[in-house]
Amino acid sequence: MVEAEFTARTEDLKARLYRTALVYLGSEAIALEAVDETVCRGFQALKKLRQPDYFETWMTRILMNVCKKELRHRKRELTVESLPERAVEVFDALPLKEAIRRLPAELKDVVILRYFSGYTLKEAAESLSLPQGTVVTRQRRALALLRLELTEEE
Amino acid sequence: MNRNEEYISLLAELERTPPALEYTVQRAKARTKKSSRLRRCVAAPLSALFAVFLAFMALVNLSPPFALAMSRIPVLKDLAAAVGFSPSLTAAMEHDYVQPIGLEQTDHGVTMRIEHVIVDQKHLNIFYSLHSDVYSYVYVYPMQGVTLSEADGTPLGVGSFTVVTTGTPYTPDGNLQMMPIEFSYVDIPGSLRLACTVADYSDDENPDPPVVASFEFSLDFDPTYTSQGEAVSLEKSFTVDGQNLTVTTVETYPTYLRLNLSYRANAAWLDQIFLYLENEKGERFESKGIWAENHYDTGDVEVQCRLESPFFSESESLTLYVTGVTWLDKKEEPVKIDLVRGIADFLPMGTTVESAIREENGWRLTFSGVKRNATSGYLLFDTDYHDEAGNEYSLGTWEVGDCQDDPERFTVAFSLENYLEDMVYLLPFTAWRVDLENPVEIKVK
Repeated sequence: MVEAEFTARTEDLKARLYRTALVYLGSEAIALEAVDETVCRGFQALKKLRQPDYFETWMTRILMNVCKKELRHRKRELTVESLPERAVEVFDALPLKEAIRRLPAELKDVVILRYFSGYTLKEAAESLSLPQGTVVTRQRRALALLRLELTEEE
Repeated sequence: MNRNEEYISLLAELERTPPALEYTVQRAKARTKKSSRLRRCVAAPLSALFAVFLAFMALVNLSPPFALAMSRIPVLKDLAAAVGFSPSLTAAMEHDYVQPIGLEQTDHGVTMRIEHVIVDQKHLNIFYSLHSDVYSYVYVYPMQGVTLSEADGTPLGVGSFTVVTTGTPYTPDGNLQMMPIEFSYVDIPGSLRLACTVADYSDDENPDPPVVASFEFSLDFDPTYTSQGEAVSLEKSFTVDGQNLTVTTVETYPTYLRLNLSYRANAAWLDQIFLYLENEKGERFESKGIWAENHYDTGDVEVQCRLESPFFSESESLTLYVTGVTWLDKKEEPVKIDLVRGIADFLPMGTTVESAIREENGWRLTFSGVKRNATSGYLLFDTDYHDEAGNEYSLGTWEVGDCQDDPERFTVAFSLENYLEDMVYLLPFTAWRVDLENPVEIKVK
């Protein structure tokens, strides 16, 4: 991919990347830094991208790694296994933004991409390197915990 | 608002993107270009960086004296960017209120260089850089990796200084970074020993970055800078929402202004006070919030507010305008906390139980809440609590800090000492804001 194409496609993608980072990280300034870091890494690694058709999912993957690295230096994240017995009630008591942040990572990834960043089921599955069926299972579980009544359509 | 309504509201919030996003690609391309150690970028949040960049260009293009000063000290161009959007520090730089340091050490493949300081009686800003050919990302973690001592090695007293977190572990190699250190209740000594540990953040998979280098620098401050400052006693009282407050003293330093207030807490405590200073030229010096407070058994409370400094403004008169306050009031209905399971039957909006850990003779509780402004956090519960039998207890101390998980939240941690029950009842605070139709005006100068 040449620089001009990278620029054009990143310009189209950056707002989506920013929304994803903002839900993950909760801070406008840190989300902006995460997007900058992502675009910088993408630009530096441009020659390694073998399938330009997957540019958007590739950049999304970079962004999620950047966000996870930032979160990793904060408190350890909850896992599905460690969810409390009355998890739904715990999450229900939280504001939605906070509840999303407290989801186990594997559920949070899916719900952010699918319901806040506008990714289709196929795009989310490619970005997360998961089968579509797994994405469906995880989004269903996440929506149940969040008590969100949203469709699971592609 | 039900959950789906919250979702729609959050989607609308996410539609708003910051202006700085427009130049994301340009910044990324600029960052990828190799730079020499004399060309440095900025560690401040990039939205603030862009504002600084525009302000800097405006100053260079429109202000010949500023441009002349900048050309005389080229490295200060980088310093101006590292300062970020701080009017007080920018003014300090414009008036050459910068002490060069120029100390450098290398340890285990990491080089730390302290370039300059901006220092006055109460505040120290250290401008430094880190470079390594061995590690991709190295970082001085301010709260855990910095210790200060007197020139003879005597540690400074606990609580006598605070290192403010700034920058991120992913600041590009060699960039100039700023480390602000607050001395709330004592003057800065003429010399200090600064010890820093630096950790390696290169490994994405390691949640506990290892310390790879240690440094100790002896910093001697020019008394021309550390002697600067002026304290004025005012003892002027005013009433807000039926509560009497007194501005006791105003301390003006080159890097910020301290406004000290006192009041007698009745049923409510002061959470925020909205104010600013204005001089005869119409220049405003904005508030940076409440930075410290002392509570006495008598019910008297002393509060320290910070504002941008008018030190370099050559103001002939200064007037304080108080435009509103936020009070914290105790709720009558207690919250029941199940200590074993770490959950509450209900909590005020935005408050969460972070942890409930059994200790030898009691429990250690941590809660988090939503910051009401960029700098303040506060106690979420009253210091008195009781058990299921109605026996009353009282907290000795508590710790308030930033929530590492979320910069818009703060944490409050305290111990229930000699408490062996599995349930506890805490009294939460609620807050309300009062905006004054006619601001209170107090002549300061």
